[in-house]
Amino acid sequence: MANSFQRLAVVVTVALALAATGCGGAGTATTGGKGNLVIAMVNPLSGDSATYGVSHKNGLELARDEINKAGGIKGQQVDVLFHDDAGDPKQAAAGAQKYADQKNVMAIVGSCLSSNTLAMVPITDKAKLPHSVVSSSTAKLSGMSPYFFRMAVQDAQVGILMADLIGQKVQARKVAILYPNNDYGKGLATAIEEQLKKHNVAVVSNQAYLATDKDYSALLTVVKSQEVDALAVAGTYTDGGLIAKQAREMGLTIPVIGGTGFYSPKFVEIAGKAAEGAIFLGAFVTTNPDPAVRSFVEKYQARFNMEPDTFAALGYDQMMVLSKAMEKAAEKGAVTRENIREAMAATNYKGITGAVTFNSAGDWVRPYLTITVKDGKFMLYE
Amino acid sequence: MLLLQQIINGLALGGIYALIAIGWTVVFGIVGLINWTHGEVFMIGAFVGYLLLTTVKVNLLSALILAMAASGLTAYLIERLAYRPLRTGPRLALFITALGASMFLRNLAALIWEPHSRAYPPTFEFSVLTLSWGNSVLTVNSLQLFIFGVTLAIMVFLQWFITRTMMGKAMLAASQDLEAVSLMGVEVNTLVTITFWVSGLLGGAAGVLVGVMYAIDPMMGAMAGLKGWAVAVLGGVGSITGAMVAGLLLGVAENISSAYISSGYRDAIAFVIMILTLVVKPTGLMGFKFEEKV
Repeated sequence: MANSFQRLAVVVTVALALAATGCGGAGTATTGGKGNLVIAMVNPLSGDSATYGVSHKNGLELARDEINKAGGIKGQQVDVLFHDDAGDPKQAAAGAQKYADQKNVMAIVGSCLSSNTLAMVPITDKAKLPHSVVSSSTAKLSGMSPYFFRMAVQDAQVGILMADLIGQKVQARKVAILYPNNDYGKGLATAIEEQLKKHNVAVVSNQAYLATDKDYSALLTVVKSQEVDALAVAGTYTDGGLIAKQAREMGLTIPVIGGTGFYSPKFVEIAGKAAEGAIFLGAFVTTNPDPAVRSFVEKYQARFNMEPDTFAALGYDQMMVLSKAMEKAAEKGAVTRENIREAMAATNYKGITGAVTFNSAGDWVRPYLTITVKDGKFMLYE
Repeated sequence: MLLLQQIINGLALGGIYALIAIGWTVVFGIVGLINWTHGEVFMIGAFVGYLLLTTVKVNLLSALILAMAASGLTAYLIERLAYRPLRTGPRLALFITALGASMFLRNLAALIWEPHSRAYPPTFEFSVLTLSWGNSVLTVNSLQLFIFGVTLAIMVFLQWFITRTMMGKAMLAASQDLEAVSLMGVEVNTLVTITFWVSGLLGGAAGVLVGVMYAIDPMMGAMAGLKGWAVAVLGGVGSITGAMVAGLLLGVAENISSAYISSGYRDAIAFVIMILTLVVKPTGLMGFKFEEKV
């Protein structure tokens, strides 16, 4: 009867909701050998956000192997343990707790997701375990713990720079903003709109979309009817790439301006020809003529058979920053969590993504590159 | 005019929803199984199409046909390995097996193909057609027309198969009473096999079309399966014509609601429509009175 079908429908919906939130398992970790320095990583290595976690892991491992090949830290080799949080804050917290209790773990890195890092910081703070991330951009993390160091891109800063780009370099007068309906998108969109006011640029629409969405034609049709002269997208490369593609498909030719989330080879792959001329901010670009960047890109490509993204580049720098901190700690006497923290706070390292220093809130206030796409390649924007 | 533009935009997406929903609904109509692996069959079609286009470099039409065949085979194998041994078992066992198989395939795909988004290579040189009269301008992309055309062709073919061939007629009859059909001398296993093949072929076609138009990832089946289910409920579970109409309706409704309410709620709208249908008219737009088969 219809009734039993209705009941079944409810059961199924609940079951799926549970399945959608709870899938994925805890990762495995190998214990480090005797006398080795152990660092632990908590990151999404499976599930929807695994791209970030895997890139971060690749970059970090490349740096670790270089350090070990060059003799390690004063003769001690560096081991890295991995815990897969599958994008779930509960599993990230469990990973942080596991490593906090493991006394030989000297420092922890990750996660790539703000909500996961927020769940981890109270645990690492209590355990006095130096904790650093290359992503997790929420303002809430600033100054949350003296043991927390953030090499991530900061939303508020990126929003202001995007607006400057739109107002000054692109010289748009009427702008539409699209943002994914999550903390990242909302924060960025607000920052852009605020700063655009200072440039006297009219924001005719500021609309949210679902980050998992694939079809943006409805929103873009509205944008087209508003006759704006630039489109700001506060999203990442998947949604940003699809938006750029679908905008061109409906004959919309205005410049598309993105945040740091656009920088990935996937952006060009997804948007295809529509990627041409998109302008966005980034911490890293593979075509950067800087010899240090060139050498990193070559090594990364040789090992992983793909172009490094920002997560990979930052992961590489992060491992280098950690190794410098451990070296300093070793010079001071012993490599302990406390000594590493002290050395981290005094970091001054010139990496492939810029010169790394931390302010009193543990944040790296960094310069950004303006990047554009030319003939399917990322180039520095003049 | 903006409204008309939104309707045109919605039709291509709606056609894809309809294809997914038909594949979903034929299985439910005949086997009485909520086929959770349908989303994964769709995903596998999308990936096979991607691999054919990128590594073997076949043309789009061959990729579409081969991906459909691969999805059909996958659906058949799932039926053979996961469902058939349990066909006489309790309904719940089948249901849980379906969920498990779906989870397994999704994560297997993520393991093999890496869990990030990919886009099809530019196989299709689209052009933008602009129709204007007075101040109003309508734009239609040839890609949208292609998607819609393929969907229509497949639906016409399916309609012919169901109403004009013996096997199709047997399927239609089985959706009313499988037992009676088997008593009339139709081999049930063959019928079920064909049903899963048809379901898989349609799912694979939808997968390739999504790849051409949007982007693909191993997790894409989860939401697509749910949407297919919502469309099937809206159209009347088991009704093929209902699924076609409801698919188009949902595509258009999502686009209109994105434009006039909020794009952030477009998925919610699909499920609100589904729940309202269950409350107001549980048999759906074109469903027959649903009788539990004992």
